[in-house]
Amino acid sequence: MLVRLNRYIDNMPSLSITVAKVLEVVKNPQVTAKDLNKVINLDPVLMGRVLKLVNSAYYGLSNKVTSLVTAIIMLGINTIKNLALSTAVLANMKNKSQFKALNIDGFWRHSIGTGAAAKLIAGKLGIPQNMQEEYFIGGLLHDIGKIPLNDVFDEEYLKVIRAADMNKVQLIQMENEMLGINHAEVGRMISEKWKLSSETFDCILNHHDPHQAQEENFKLVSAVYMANSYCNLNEIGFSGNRFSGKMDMSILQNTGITLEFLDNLFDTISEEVEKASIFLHVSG
Amino acid sequence: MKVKFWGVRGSIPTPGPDTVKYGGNTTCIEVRLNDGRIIVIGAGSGIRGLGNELVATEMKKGPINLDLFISHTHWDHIQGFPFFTPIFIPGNKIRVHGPVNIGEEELEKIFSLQMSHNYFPLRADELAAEITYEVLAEKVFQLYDDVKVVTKMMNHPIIDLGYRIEADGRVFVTCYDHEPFRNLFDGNPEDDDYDELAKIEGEKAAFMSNQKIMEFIAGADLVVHDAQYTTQEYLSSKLGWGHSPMEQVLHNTVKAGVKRVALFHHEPTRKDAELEHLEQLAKHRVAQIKSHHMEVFMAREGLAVEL
Repeated sequence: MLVRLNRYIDNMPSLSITVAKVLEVVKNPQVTAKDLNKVINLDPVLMGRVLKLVNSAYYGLSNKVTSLVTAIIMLGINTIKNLALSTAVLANMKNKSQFKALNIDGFWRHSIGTGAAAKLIAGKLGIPQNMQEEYFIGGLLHDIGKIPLNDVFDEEYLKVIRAADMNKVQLIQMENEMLGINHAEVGRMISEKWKLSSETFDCILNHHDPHQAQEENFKLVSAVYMANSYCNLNEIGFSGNRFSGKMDMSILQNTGITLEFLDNLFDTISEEVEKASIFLHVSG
Repeated sequence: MKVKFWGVRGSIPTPGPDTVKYGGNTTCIEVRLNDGRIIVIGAGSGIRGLGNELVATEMKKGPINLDLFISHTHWDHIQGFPFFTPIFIPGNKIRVHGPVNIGEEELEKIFSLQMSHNYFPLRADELAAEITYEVLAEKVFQLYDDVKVVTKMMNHPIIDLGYRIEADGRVFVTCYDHEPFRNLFDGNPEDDDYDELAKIEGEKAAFMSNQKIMEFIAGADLVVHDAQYTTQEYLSSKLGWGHSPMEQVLHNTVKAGVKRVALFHHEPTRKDAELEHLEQLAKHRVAQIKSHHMEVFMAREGLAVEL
């Protein structure tokens, strides 16, 4: 099982929903850094791969790069274009059964929605603007571990999602029971392979329980936790977790975020997801 | 340490009456340590001349044993390799070091590709010398106990390394093909796609990346630096091509306390007279900057510099 997952992660494709736009953008000879930034922000796999590259052995950096803008400047437009192209091509080579269990559009909306919500929460928490991108990335990537589970074990994963639904329990619980591994753990495998920053790693591993996060990442992981719960409860996208349970009030109290504040985010998040969706599906 | 230029031209060899003085071969630099050990940087068409000389002189003493460093695998930096005579002679040992592009081919495959039958009469596995390939990334290592090598990622449309070689109490640095890192997220608030956060972040990233290049060249006895364009040419149509404007190179090398800088990777359309003129301009410009003693010259095929 781990061998299959590992092999998959090594050649993990872009989400098929973003591929057409990625190809359209990168095939434009006049593509700008801004265009690349925009399209990579919409694709969790591509985002992860760009960060992987800039944090890879190519660069002798002492600190991990957590900003896409920085990654694009360091790697250059051409290298990013090639990376995006090869990631998109991988997606096109996959069979059409991608996301048989999870609805891909729903998964993508959930990821974008959680990223947008986490960034808005960061603003409320008084996180400096230049660090808010990290919150977005944490939200965008938090469920990345579901992609290999869904693609490698498509039939089993469908059963897991149905069982979670029927038993009205959290998806992660059913993953543990039926697969013996959960999406946070698969996310850990991806984080290690991609050499993601410890902050993003913590979001992926502990977005269901911020109390387990490193102390210095508590705010960040809590923001992703709240963003994820909020999107689940308000059905912004769908990531297979219909019964996500109530939000842990201690997290709200610890961070000073209120339910009223979150409730007021709905229109903004929906708008962000809609804008992204239109961008992906409208050419030009 | 002695440095000799065997090829100084960028992009494509440019033989002919207009390039007699500075030379038309693409990049190749020989670094000779005091005890005779050989390090070669670049396998452009200039490496052919070096190979012939090594066969004529060095091989009288015995087989050749050398390290060849490649900045990147664009043609003008590898095209001379199939004509480097030492690779055909048994007993010679050649270690090729260089970067490869993201998760793609191995270095050996890239070199072999230009020796496939469509392009060349011999195949790479028919070469008689012992040739090994090592993929390099950004790192610091000892090539020998007394030779330290630092590699640094350049800003070019492909993964590209500069080399800093510290040996014999001297420091020699190559910094090509490279253009200054710049903020790709600049813009005006009136623009549709203006993003202030990205602009600030981009400013910081470009500054830090340029700072690292300054540290890389700092205090060197000789820096061979990309200076393919003038500022005017660069700003008018060459942004993002991965080559530097001469004036900025002079400013940076002075600031970094470099003792000598060789302007390198000459634009293929430049004639001798133009390079002579630019060399004078460069010397004049450096003379204008007071309180330092940096020497500047145009790299010229056949020129040997003692460090």
